[in-house]
Amino acid sequence: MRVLLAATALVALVHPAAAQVSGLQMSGPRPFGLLLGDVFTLTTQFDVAKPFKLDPAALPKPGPVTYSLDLRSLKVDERSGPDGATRYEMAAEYQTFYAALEAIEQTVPPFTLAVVGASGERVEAKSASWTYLTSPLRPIVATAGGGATAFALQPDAAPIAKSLRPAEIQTGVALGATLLALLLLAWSRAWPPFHRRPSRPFAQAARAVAKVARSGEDGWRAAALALHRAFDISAGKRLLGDDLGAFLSARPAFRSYEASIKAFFDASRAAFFGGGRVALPAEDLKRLARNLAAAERAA
Amino acid sequence: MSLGRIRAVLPPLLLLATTLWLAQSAWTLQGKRSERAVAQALASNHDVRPPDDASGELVFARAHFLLVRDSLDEAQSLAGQIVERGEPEVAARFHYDVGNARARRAVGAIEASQIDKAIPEVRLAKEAYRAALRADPTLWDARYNLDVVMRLVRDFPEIETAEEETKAQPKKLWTDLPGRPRGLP
Repeated sequence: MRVLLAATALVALVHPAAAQVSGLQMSGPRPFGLLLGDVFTLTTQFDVAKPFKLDPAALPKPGPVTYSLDLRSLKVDERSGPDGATRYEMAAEYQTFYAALEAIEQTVPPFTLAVVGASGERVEAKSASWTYLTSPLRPIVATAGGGATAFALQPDAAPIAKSLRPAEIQTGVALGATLLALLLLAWSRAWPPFHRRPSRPFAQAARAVAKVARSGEDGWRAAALALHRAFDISAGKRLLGDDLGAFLSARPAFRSYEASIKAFFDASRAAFFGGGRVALPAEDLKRLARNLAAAERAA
Repeated sequence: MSLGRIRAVLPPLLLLATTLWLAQSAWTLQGKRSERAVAQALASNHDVRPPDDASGELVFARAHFLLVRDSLDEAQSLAGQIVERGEPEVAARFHYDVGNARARRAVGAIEASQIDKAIPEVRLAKEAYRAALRADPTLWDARYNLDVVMRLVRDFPEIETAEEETKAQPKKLWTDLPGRPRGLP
């Protein structure tokens, strides 16, 4: 747990007109028990009277502050404060590299806060400094083992062999999802093993038509019969050319192919009961069957 | 778009999306497999060069291979790739290993009573450990070893005369000699 200590700071007034910067407060973590390499954040809050504004160019840049102290980052948050002033909240993240031989006091130096007025006048103030106790990691006199342990280093950091399991699981899941999507597509298009789906008669017919339509007149007849069977299954009864109107009004998805369907029924009547002349080219028959299968999926 | 049309269009789109996903994850898995093969070869003492587009982890594995063999210069030429491509934790481990290699050299020089050689190595080791801690403050081994080399050759910043000049440069430091090299009474 981090105990936040709010410390009312001593504001070092650089300029007599520093009343533009007021209410400076700083809080930090517990000021003791810090070790070499520790990171801590100091939060500074202050109000700037209007029309003055904080000059971001004057703020310290991340990098070394003293020999044993680094500024890692500085975040400035701006919002409206009391009495029309602007309240600034700065979070400065430091890292200490002080290798203590005994518990010793260290100080984070203050930095300059410059505010600029509307006509360019400049007022400077100082943030608060922060003092903490830093402790050693190791005793001064090496314990048992004598001189050998005095320079003993911790071992090298070896590369970590990352497990492939997450990537393997992801690939497996993707494979499963692809197979499921393939099954769904097969079901939707009445591909095997769903080719006998009762609600997809035209898909079956389209396959049969594609297979036989071009193999001469007998083929054409077989294809036309297959398409007729699909119409029959779809209508639930034997569908004749005269019933087409009722059939189409019950199935709006097929209505855009009304002309082609009528042409097919006429051609089929002519072929089976007329002079035996094929009036509808095999290509048109195939296209009609394909279109009807597509319309059936969208129904 | 009517509901029926969506129902007709959805399955092919779904199949396309899952196929792309499958291809992408299979590609990633394949890349990881080949990286692991290189890393395992390095771990079993084979001098293998990782491909140019290797990940930060793999470049670090190569750098580690070089560092434990004291090829410091070659390892340090990989620093840019590791910092650029790897996580901060990987970069920290690289800097830490560089620090260890430098510290080993320094200790060797001290044992051979070559103090002049040891001092710059210690300074570079300190820089490396600091870089490691900047990248990953949770790397406790780097803290420990930084403490060790700090005591090996201790820095004393010059007394800071002016508050403004707090940015201490290495030039302004003077170092004292190591107190008691190992092996002496």
